[in-house]
Amino acid sequence: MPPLEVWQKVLIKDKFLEKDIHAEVGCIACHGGQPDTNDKDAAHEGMVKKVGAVPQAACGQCHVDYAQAAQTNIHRLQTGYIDQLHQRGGDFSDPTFVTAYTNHCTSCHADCSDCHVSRPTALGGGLLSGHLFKKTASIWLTCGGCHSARIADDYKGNHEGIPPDIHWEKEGMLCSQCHTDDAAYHNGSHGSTRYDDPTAPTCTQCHEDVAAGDGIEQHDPTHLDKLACQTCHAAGEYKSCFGCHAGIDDKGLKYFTTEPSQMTFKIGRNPVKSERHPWDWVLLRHVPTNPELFAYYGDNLLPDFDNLPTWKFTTPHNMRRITPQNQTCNSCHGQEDLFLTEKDVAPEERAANAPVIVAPEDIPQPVEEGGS
Amino acid sequence: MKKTLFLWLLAAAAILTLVVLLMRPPAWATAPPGAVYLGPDMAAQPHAAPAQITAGAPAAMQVELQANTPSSDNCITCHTDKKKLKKLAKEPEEVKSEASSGEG
Repeated sequence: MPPLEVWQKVLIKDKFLEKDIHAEVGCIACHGGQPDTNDKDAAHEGMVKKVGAVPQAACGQCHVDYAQAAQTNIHRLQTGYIDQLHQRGGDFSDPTFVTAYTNHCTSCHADCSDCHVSRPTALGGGLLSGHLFKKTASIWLTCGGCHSARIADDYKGNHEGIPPDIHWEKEGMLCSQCHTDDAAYHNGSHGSTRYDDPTAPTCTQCHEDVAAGDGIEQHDPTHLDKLACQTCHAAGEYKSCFGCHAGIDDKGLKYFTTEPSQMTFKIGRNPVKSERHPWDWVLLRHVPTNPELFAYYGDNLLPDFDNLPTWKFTTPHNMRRITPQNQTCNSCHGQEDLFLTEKDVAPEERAANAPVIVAPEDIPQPVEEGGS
Repeated sequence: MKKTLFLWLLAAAAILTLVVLLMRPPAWATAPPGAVYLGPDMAAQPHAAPAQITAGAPAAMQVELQANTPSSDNCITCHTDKKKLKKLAKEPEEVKSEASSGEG
């Protein structure tokens, strides 16, 4: 998505002024600034560009409950990041660690305005549609603006050779049609990470007739109980990232480096087994974290790094009914390359990934097909 | 008599509302352990210190919409004028480190 021209970012549409209730209070009620001058710099003195950053200050004047709930919003607080770093031993009471986190991880923060009125910073910012407020976030500009390489590109079929998700291709479904829980997007009821969310969508909420005996041979109790849906129905590879290192250069500027991303498809052991995620086999995606992520700032800032795998549970959004791995039994059985084995994991990350690595002897053996 | 009764009822309703609002747990009480709120502007500042989660503003502090907010006519005149914006709008200079590389 190309960034907007700078003037487009701040152009207000007549439609906003005429029809949007938010226009009725005037610009200064939310943004501040100086009313009695035509000089650009003087007019902008004291102006707050992103009023949604402090929900109570503007949005909360009317949307009282939402603003209150936003105090614990996962998008705003990035509780997922915090939870995962905390589990790896990150000490948020250590100023050095917090400085590293602040400098390099918080650009993914999203507040009220990032979803409802502006493009996210990751897309260069600017008004979504001339300051018109969007009750439902725009799928490509908002959700996809941040969740791009790992969700939107899969969903649209932007990766060469991998078809789009059937929910998009055939039905044109928007994010909010599955991710419906309003409360979860506005407060902390989803838990620390998105996979803790007890209200997160599941495939069977719509596909409620999927069950053993539904006429699909592979939908037997063994496959249904032991495999996450994506294991069979993800249409192909999805992006994995590697080797993020963050620091400050000799000019005092923040930087990060990452190794080239790779398209991967790996089945592994389930690292988040729970009542909601009961399967033995799930898809895994490598995330860019590594033991030396914050090495610039100090030694051993993630002392418990091995507490979590770097190949993490994932739910690629490229679902199809028929996929390369489910065409025949032996499209999966005996296909060692589909499984995350020790050789796929960097030696320094093997301890962290021990719970998800598949031993060669555990890879399902080929079966005789067509005979029964 | 009716007026007095009305005023008593109004006062009772106000007190009840206040009690209910005060009984709601503050937002930070439900935040995950170790959670830190870091604003986007702070992320742009090298070595910025973090801000801790602060309690959500109690309803009593919520500001009513200002009926007499100063006029926004000057703001609107400029921000609806495409030609003027093309002439005046400037992207804030963003200095990126040359050391950065790779997808992020």
